[in-house]
Amino acid sequence: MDTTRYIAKHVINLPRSGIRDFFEIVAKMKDVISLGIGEPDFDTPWHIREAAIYALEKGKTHYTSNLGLIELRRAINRYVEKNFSISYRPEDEILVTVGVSEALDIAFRALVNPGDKVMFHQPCYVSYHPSITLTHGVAVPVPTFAKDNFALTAEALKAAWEPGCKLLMLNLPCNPTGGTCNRAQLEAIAKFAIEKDLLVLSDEIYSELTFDGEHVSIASLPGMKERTIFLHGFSKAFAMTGWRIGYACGPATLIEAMMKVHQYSMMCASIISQEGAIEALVRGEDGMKTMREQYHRRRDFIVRRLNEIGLKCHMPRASFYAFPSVEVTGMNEKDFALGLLNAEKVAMVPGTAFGPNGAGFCRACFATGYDQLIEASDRIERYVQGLKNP
Amino acid sequence: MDFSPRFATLRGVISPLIKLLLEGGRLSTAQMAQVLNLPEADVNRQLDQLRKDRVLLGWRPVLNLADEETGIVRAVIEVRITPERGGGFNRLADRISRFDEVESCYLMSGGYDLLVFVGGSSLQKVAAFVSEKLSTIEGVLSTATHFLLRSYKEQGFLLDIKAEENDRLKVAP
Repeated sequence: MDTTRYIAKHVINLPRSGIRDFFEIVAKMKDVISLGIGEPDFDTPWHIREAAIYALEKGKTHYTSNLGLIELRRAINRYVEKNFSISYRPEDEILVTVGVSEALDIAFRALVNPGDKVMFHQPCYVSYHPSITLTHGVAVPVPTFAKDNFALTAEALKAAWEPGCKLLMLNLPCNPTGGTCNRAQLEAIAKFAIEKDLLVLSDEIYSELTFDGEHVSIASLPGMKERTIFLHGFSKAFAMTGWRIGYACGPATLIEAMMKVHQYSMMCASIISQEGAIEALVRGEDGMKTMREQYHRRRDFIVRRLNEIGLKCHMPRASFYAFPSVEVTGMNEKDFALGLLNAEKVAMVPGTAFGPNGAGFCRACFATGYDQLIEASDRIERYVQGLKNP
Repeated sequence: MDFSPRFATLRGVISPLIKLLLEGGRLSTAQMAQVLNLPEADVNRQLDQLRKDRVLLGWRPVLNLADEETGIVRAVIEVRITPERGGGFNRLADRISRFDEVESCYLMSGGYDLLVFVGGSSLQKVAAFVSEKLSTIEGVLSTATHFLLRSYKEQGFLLDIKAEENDRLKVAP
C-alpha cells in the first residue's frame, strides 16, 4: 500500500533538514572531532540537576498550570527585568514552553493565517522556514552578509519587504553565524517594524553568550514591548538542552492565544524541568558566567586559527559558533565539509543547511574542549594546505 | 606589605594563563601557547615567573586508587596549640607542616586551631606520628585524630563514577 498518499501536501513537500543528512554521514564514522554540535559541551551544573532530583523526591510529578509554575514565571520576570530591562506580568504575560522550539511553533500557529507573510533573516536556525511553512505561512527570507558581520540591517529588511508581511522573526545573536545587532542597528529595525506594522518574534536564546559589548533586546526599545514576543530558554546559557524548557513573554492577548494552542497540544512543560529552571534562574548566574568565559577564550582561539589557515572568518560577537568562508579553497561548502570529514575526520556543518545564502560558509561550533579545538584546527590546516598543494 | 607585584601579574598578563591551567586539563605548553596566541617561550617564561612568585607550586596527578592499592592510610587531625607572642600560630604551624607525613595544614576558626592532613603507610605509623611527634611538640595542647575511611571526591574529581560514554549527538542543529 502506498502510504505516502496519506501525508499532508505541505509536509510531504517539506525538505529534510540539511543537518540531518550530514548527521547520517558523520554518525557512521569513528573518531570524528565534531565541530557540528549545536549545544554546550558542559553538562547541566549539578545544583540544577540536584534541584530536579529533589523535586522528584518531593513528589513533584503532576501537571502544572498551562502557563507554567507561578514561581517559575515570577523568577522569569525578575531575570528578564534584570538582564533585558523589560518587565512582564507573571500572571498573564509569561508562558513556559517546551523549549523555544515549542514557543516558536505555537506562536506561528497562534498568529499566522494561511498566506500571511513572515520575514526572517538567513542564514538562520534550521526550523524557522519549515515552521512557517507548516502553519501555511509564506516565508520571506532576508539575507545577512559577512561584510556586516552577519548583523541584520534595516536596509536588507526594506529591500525584502513585500505587501502582506505580518511578522518579523529575529534570532539575535544568531545560530549559525554568531552575528548580532548593536543598539543603533536594532533601533533601525524597530523603526522599520513600527512603520510596516510588523509583530516581532525575537528568539534571544544566545543572548547570555555575548562576549563583546552589550546584548540589547528589541523588546526593550521604545514602542516595541507591545509588538514583540520575547522568546528565551535555558538550553544554551545554563547548558540544559535536553531539559526542553523555554518561555515566551509578550502582550497578554498574544500570550493567551499562544496558551490556547499550548493547552490543547502540550498541556504544560515538564514539571521536573520547570523546577530545574527555577534553580537555574535563582542560583545559576555564576556557573553561566564561568561557561561564558570559557566559550570566550575558545572563540578567540578558533577564529584566529581559522583566519590563519586562510578560511576568512568574522569575529562572532556572541554564541558558540564561528562561520568561516571556505571560498579560498575554490570548493563549495558541501564538498569542503565532506572532503574535510573524509580526509581529516573533522565535522563542520555546511552553511547551506541554514539557508541558501549560507553557500560558501561552514559552521564550526566551538563548544568543545581545547585539546579537541587545537587538534581540529591543525587538521583543518593540513586539509586546506593539501588542497593548495595537491 | 609588599604583595603588589604578585597581584599585578595575577590580574595582568599571567591571569589568562592561570585560568587556562585551571580549566584546560593537561595541555602542553605548546598547546597553551596556541590557545593564548603567545610564543611558547613566553608561556614558559610566565610559568617560570609563577614558580618564582610561588603562585604555581608544582604539579601532581590526581589518582583514583583504592587505599589498599596505594597502601596509604590518611587521617585528619584537629590540633589545639598555644599561640606565641609575636608569632601567633605561625611558628608552630610551620614546624608541624615540615614533617613529610603532613600533606596539608590549615589554621582554622572554631574549636581547634590547626587542621592537619596526614598520610602514612599504615595505621600504626600514622598513630605513631601523632603520639610521638605531633603531640609531643612544646605548645601542642591536644590532638583529635580521625582516620579517613573512603574518598568520594579529590581535588574536584569525583572518584566513584565510571568513565562516561560520550552520548552527545555528533551533529545537532
